[in-house]
Amino acid sequence: MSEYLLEFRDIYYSYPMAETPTLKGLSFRLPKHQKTALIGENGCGKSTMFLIADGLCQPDQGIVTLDNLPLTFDRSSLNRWRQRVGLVFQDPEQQLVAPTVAADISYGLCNQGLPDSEVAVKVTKILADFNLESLAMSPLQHLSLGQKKRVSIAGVMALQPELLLLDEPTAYLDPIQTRNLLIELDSIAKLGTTLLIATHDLDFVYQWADWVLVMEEGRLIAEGETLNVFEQLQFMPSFQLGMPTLWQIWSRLTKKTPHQISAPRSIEDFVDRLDKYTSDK
Amino acid sequence: MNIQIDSLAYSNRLRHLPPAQKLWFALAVLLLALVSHYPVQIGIFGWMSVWIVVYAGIPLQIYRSMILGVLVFLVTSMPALAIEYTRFISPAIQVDSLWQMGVWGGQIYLSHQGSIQAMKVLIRSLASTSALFFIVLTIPAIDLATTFKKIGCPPILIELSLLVYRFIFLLADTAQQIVTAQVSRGGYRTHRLRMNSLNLLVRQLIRRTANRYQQLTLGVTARGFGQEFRFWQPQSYQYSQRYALESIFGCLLLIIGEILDRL
Repeated sequence: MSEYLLEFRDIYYSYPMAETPTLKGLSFRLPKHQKTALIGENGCGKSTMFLIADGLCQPDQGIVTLDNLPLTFDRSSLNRWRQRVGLVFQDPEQQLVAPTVAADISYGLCNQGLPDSEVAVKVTKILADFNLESLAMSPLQHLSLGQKKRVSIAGVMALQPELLLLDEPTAYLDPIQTRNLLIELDSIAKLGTTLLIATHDLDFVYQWADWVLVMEEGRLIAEGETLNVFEQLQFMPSFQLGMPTLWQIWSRLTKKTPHQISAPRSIEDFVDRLDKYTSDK
Repeated sequence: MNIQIDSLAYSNRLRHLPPAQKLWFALAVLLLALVSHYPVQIGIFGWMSVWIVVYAGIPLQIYRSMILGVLVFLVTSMPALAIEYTRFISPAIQVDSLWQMGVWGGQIYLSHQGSIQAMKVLIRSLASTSALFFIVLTIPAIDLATTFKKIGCPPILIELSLLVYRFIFLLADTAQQIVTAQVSRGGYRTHRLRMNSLNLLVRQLIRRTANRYQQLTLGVTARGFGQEFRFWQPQSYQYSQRYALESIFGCLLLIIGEILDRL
């Protein structure tokens, strides 16, 4: 068994009528059971990469594998692939199709052809896991955006995918909704699901991710453990997204790069180290 | 208003009743409204209003505005039935005319028979509408779809209606956002600007609907869409003997009333 789950090998993809390809030789490997973040500027190909990873777009060139099993575009293979790889879109309205929460969560399970009794058990469990029991019979149009995001993730998690792809999951959410969502994502990760999140929120990435992929103009420009990747990024003038706030504060405070002094990655850790740092001085 | 009606369908006091029970009851009443005479139809309208406002707890204000909307539509179509034009007033017309006025070399008159016909249509429409409002206000869309599926409605019709139902809210939401953005930038200040903004609104809605369609196609494909939209819905309804008895005895009473009216 490989220690990597998803692998892209030299993937090229162009949208119809586009002058230049969106993905230009994208290659990376995604470690199993890790919380991975994918960062990059708008238009660098993050969402396209997700569509290919879920078998929704067929690359012009290159190979995509899941546990060394290549992605093929026949109907039955795609169905099996999508049971193993779940995709949560940025806009939850894009994937919520049923009139109520329970009915929507059941949608993917019904598509697998499971009997109603089994669907009922799984929907009841996922409603409890995501704290959505009180909303089970609620119509989707009555939910807040944060609730819709939770329902869209619950609908995908009902299929128990090995890999969960989330495109900008914190977009448009307020800080409380974001915090609650992250708690849910952490609990999903603890169950052994590999997570890959595309985001612009570097503070979130810095605190949350175990592994980081960085894309630029359809290619991978950096990958690795979180601190290592930011260490590389600070010396890349083409990387325009900036650096995480904790990183910037700590490096200015200590006049060293955080990697050299093992930078804090959470506010609690930051405060502890600041106390220690000031007392040492 | 649409969203309010939908909310009430999910939160009314008859929500816990089996949808089939409510649907069959409303259809039976609708059938009675269509075949009975106006005294029974008046009874149907009053009785259904009690079910809607008192039993289901739908706010009177909302029910009244829904009925008023229907009334406006009906009243505007009544003159076509009650008012007639003739070049020559015959003795029969003279007897039938309640009021008349000379115009364009002939006579416009208010027909007695036509007025009665219009009133009958009005009362029958109100009775039928109240039965339909009972369905709309007490049975949520998903319950209706599930019930129709059970009674053998073609799946394609049910799927289409559920998708249209989802899209109504998405489009209403999108339209609201665009109108708000237009109003905030003075898009509706004058008649000319209003027309221009409406034109933009319609164009944007068409464009965004096409975009939504593409997004939704990707969304459902990612979730393993097969040949049809299939859902599972928890069933937690409670059969009520009290409401069942009242609906049966009420319908029997209306049938007896109709028979007596015909004798």
